[in-house]
Amino acid sequence: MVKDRTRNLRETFEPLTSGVFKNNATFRLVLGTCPTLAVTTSAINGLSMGLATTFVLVCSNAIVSMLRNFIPRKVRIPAYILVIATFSTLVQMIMRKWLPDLYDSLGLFLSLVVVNCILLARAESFASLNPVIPSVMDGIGIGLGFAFSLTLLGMIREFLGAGALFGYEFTALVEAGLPMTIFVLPAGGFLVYGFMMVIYNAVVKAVENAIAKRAESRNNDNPDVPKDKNGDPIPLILEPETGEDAIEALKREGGDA
Amino acid sequence: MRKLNVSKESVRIVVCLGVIALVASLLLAVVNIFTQVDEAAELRKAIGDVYAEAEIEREIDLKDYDDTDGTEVLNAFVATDGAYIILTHVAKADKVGYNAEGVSMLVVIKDGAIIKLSGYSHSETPGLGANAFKDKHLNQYVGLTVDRFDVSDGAQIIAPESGYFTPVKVTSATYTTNAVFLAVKASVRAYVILTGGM
Repeated sequence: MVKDRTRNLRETFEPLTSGVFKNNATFRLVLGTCPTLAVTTSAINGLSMGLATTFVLVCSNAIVSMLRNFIPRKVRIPAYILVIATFSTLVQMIMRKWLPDLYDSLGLFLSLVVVNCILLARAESFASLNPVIPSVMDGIGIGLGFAFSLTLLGMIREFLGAGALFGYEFTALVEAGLPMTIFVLPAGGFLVYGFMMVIYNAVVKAVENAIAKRAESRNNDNPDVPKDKNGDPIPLILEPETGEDAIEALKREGGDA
Repeated sequence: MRKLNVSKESVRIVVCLGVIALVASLLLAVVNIFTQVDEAAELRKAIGDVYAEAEIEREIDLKDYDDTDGTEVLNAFVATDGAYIILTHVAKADKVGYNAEGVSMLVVIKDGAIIKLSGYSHSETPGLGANAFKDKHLNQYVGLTVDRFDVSDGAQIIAPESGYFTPVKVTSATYTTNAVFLAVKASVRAYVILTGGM
């Protein structure tokens, strides 16, 4: 069901932050793995691929959200692909004109942005159900999260594999023979991706636990929060007083009364 | 005449997809006007970057030129100082595995010797295949005379014992080194033919 209810500022901007960290497309949702492994041989490739995908994601999310009541459900996937393909081609045209080296370097994977599962997944699961602004925020969040992950992987692989960062070569490292070519090759891509996924998820889980603990201790310290005989806070449950209240509450939640 | 039974939903589907496709086409057409790449101008700019010593005097017509297998001489120019500037494309440097497809090289040959060369386009991995286009590697060709290349055997890598020039290969970029070598060799062959040496 289309959620067209008014949102407060926090709800509007929530997809932005969750897309970057909590729902990071690469490390948490494990989407778009093919371009992730293929183009992260250097940091600049990862960054540019991430930004190109962000642009397509933001624009396609906005258009899909705008047209969500106009597109018939039966043909929604071809319609979304049409929108995504338009912006993907647009990015290709722009990069070919003004960034030809990067265009050559990204090669086929720039054209394959159109079938990147992140784009279709966000169009289907978010933009087609939400208003324009939250959809754009979701596009920016997920896109920046993807760009961040690709850049990070590219930096690690380029540094370990070629002794360089963003094309700047550390001559001393290269002359000492320290770069390990395997990190630029596909096997190294899988290795770095796997390790980064473990580290990222451990960090995010630790942060989430710390936030939950802080919230819990805040509740324990607050004298206004009712507690049971063991001193644990009693969860606050608001129950409608009458049957009519319950129907109203259900309607507000978007259910059938 | 039988009445065509078209449901309202079918019309809606056609109209929806048609409108999206039309708007998308218009948008792409407008963007295309501003982003169209003038390949001739790009090439002249690249030549200016590689060989700034002289202006291009004329372009050679390659209509009747026969390429060797796997390579293609795309353009050839004569500069005002008599240097030949040749753009050569290598389709495949090897038949097996990852084979450095799509390498294009600009080679400047003057008075029977290579004086400058540069990678024009490629999609090699930075830090890996792209190392073959660094000056450190390309400089091994500079100063070589055309008789150091066996231009009669087509697109083949020459064995070191043959007496002809064999390039020092870049570690982990063997195929790309081969592609660069084949591009240079095809350029030398074009120079020899165009100057009436073959």
